[in-house]
Amino acid sequence: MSDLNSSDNATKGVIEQLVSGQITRDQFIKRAGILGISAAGIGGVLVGAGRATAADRVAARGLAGGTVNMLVAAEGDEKGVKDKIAEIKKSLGIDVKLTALPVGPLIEKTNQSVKASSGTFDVIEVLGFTVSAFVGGGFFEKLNPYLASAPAGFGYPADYPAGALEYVSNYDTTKQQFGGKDVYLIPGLHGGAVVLFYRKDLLKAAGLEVPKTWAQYVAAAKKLNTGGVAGNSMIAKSGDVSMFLVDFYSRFAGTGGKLMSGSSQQKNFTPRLTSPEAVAALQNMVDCVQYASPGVLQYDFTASSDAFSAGKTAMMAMWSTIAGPVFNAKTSKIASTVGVSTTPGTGAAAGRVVRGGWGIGIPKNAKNKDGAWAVIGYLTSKEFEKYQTRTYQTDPNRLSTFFDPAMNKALPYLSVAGKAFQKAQRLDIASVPETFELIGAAAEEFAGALGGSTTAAGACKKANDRWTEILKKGGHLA
Amino acid sequence: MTSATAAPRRGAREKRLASPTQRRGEAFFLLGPCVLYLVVFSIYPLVVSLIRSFQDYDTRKNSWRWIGTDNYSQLFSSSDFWSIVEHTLVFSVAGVFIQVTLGTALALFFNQRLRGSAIVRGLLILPMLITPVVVGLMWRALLNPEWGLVNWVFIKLGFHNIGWLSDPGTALRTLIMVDVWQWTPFVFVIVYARLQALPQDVFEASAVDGANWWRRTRYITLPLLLPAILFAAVFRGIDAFRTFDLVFGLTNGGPVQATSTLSYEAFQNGFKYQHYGYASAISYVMLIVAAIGVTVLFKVVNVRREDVS
Amino acid sequence: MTLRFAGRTISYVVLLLIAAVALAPFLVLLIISFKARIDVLEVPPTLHFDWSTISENYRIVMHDDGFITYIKNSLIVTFASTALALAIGVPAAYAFSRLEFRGRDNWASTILSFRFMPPVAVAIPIFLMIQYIGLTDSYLGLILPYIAFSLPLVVWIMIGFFDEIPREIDDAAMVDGCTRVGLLFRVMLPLVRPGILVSAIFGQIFIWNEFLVGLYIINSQDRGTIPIGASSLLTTESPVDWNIAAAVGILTVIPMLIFSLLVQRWIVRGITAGTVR
Repeated sequence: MSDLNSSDNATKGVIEQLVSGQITRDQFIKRAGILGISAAGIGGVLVGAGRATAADRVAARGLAGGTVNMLVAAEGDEKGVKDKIAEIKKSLGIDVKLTALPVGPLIEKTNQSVKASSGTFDVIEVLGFTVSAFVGGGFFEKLNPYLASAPAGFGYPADYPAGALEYVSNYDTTKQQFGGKDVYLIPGLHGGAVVLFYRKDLLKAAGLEVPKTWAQYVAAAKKLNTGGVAGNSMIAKSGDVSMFLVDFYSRFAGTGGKLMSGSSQQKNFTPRLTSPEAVAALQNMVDCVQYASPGVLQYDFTASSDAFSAGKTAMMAMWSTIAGPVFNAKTSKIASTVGVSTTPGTGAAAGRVVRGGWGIGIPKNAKNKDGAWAVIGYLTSKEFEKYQTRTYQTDPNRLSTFFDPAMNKALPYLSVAGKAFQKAQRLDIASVPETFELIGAAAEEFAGALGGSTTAAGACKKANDRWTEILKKGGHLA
Repeated sequence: MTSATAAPRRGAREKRLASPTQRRGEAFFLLGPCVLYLVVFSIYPLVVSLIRSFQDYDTRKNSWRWIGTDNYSQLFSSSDFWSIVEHTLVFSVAGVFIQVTLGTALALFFNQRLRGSAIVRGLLILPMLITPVVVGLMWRALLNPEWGLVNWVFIKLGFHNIGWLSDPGTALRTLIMVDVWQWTPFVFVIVYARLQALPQDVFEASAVDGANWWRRTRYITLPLLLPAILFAAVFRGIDAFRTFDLVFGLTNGGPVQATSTLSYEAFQNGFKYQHYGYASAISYVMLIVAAIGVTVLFKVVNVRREDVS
Repeated sequence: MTLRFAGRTISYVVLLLIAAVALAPFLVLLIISFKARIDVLEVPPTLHFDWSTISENYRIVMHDDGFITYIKNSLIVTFASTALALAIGVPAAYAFSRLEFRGRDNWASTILSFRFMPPVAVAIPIFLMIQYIGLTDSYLGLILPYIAFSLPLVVWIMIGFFDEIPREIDDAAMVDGCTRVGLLFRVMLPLVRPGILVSAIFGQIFIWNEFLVGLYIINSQDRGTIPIGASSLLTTESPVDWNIAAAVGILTVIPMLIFSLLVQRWIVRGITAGTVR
């Protein structure tokens, strides 16, 4: 890390001069050589900047080559990678073999691959909620030595929000906690945060401001709930992880709720789902269901965003990654009238949402680690992230993408999503391997309250009991 | 029919025609590959999984630990276990009952000469040949609360918006409905095949006696079809008992675990949460129930053989 | 006469209704696959028939999503494992039908009971085995376990077919000096050809649809089968493209549609012989 930082400022300038065309290729190579950037590093930068010659490509290939097997999430990430396979082959001399899976199978596949004596994959995309299981289990390669030789224009860590780095990049395997100095994953291929989507036209017609608190949100939903358009929508399908992460957690954290107390190490990791903030957050959701579509209890990620794009919903909190299709006139009927803001809340807690996102790294049992690093360098570069975001509208990780003026002109929601991403909170329960089990259990119980078969307090109590059971079984709670 | 009558004679012939060593060699050659194959690819994995059901897996350390019967006691004492068993049984029993009734009715219906019925018969088996993922997808589209065709028709007919997959009271029925759509053809094919194989003179004689269609069906046809119907019921019952794809594709066990079945629970624990030991324990409970089912199946088969001969 | 005519009419109406119930879901899928993404959401549902949209949807499925490869792989894997299961299962079924040995019927029952094991219980041990012999991500890695999955049904159905053949034929051939193995290949196989077809059909239905074990063994899209390829449609963390998903559904149904029309009389025949003899 320190090596990287010391050379950072000097080389950054050089690379930016190259990219902006202030210096020629030859000047760059000369100066970069003085600054001690490796041949492969120089090659990589030149390739990234589109200024490479055949010779540079050979230099970049120097350390790498061969085949790199890659496992990524089938959430749009794979599309950008597929587009660039030919270019990676041409510029780095590496054959990328891609496997794209939905989250569930991806986790299981990762689990089997990293624990085998010889790994199937050289590069794996790891969901933030599984970092503690996979990185914490010691299955991933430390990236600090690789980063030391990365070209400074790469912008790690300066270009990423601190929270994202703490969540999917750095991990302390000795203390089994997030953060620390050791880097195991580079944030990518997409990030994730929650924002509030609303219909500018409908709010204006009803004389409403964008709600600032969740109470205002319910009141606005009530007022907007007229003739064929639902006042709001949410993900209310039982057991859907996004119900907990998007709708519950935005209300809960946005009003200052704290999910857990104690820690797994102390064996007193205790859920706080019966806290007033939790019950109030769920009650707020129950209130909102009244002003949602009759089919809302069946809404998953797709159904909720479909209804919004079809013009049947006035407001919703949702993963910002849906913004692309919503703002695209080809896939949305309300592309011209949609607005985006950070989510409502109380005081300083307003706009606090869950931190989503992925990191990408090299398993310890990978066969082609140098090749893997070259591919990771390419796929987490500024250039590739901009390409992926512009083409497929997945959420970026880099501040330089979120707040790029040209990008914001094309994708007007991007800077709001960036703000939400900066303010996003790491989910407390992400520190134990049972994260998904806990989320799923809560989302099942909460559905009972949303469907009216139990009260908010009752559902919270039941969810709290199930969490206690799971945490005890996992040895996190005595 | 032949097997039951030929069986007693068979042993004597064997002895006369081949020496014991020769027969052992033949048996080895004929059965060996099959037995060896099943030992390696069925029995061995089952034994591994039995051992796992007494162990606990630590995903961070990647290690297994003996915990005796803890997985089983945890399973039986879990608050949800019995409701999950209940869903599984309701799904299997109610679903199979409807499938058997409809399938038999279909078989009787197709037992008349109608132009075009052969094509419909061919198309009718299509649902059971479709990849479960596609079945789930298809019905999610049909039952979509906003733009699904089914809800649209129901609302046009003056009903309220029905929470097909979101109402805890309805979701299990919806699953049964889809299972019926997919698997009634299976019962139909078995019962229809039996119906075709029945000697026609029985029907002709009773028709001459002047018995009407219902009496003929009730007192002559159905009793003759009973073995096939029972066979289909047990076969389907076991398959329904371990259904997982449908739950996975349509409800993910929700809402509020209203449609969680044993095999979905096993999948969820084994595949999603890496509780391999616990999932193995669930699988073994299922396997034992399935084994009982298979025993019943063979009783049915034997009863039928005697009936026939 | 009029009563009879009315009866016929009602029968035809019922026949149409049956066809409608069985096929309506497929038709809805077909209609969705013709639409642009945004038009899927229209209420009331509308019909679209715009050739450029249709060809775009199907092009994405076949080429971008690689379903041409998946269909090819599914055909290869299904055909090979069914053929091998027959090669192993038919002689065994013959032995069960003809040879006398202790506990014969119990052994036959045990073999069929493997048909009922929950795949979740064996998926990981099987995967680890395939990994140990270095066959992950290969056709053979899929074919080996799939043989085991269809073997029980093949044996079970074939026992029924062999039982139907009079033992006098065996006796005559063996008096002529034919060995049992020679008898099986020269005399029996031609006689049980329908049974072989039927057990092939039943065996392949399961293989064609198998998803869980395949997901473990296959890594790359070059080797994926249809259920594995289609599983990414079940993603809950990003929006489902309904029109594309529907096109996947239709495309994977077509081989089965052709298949079911070709084999329907064999399926009926198979159950007659294999289970209701």
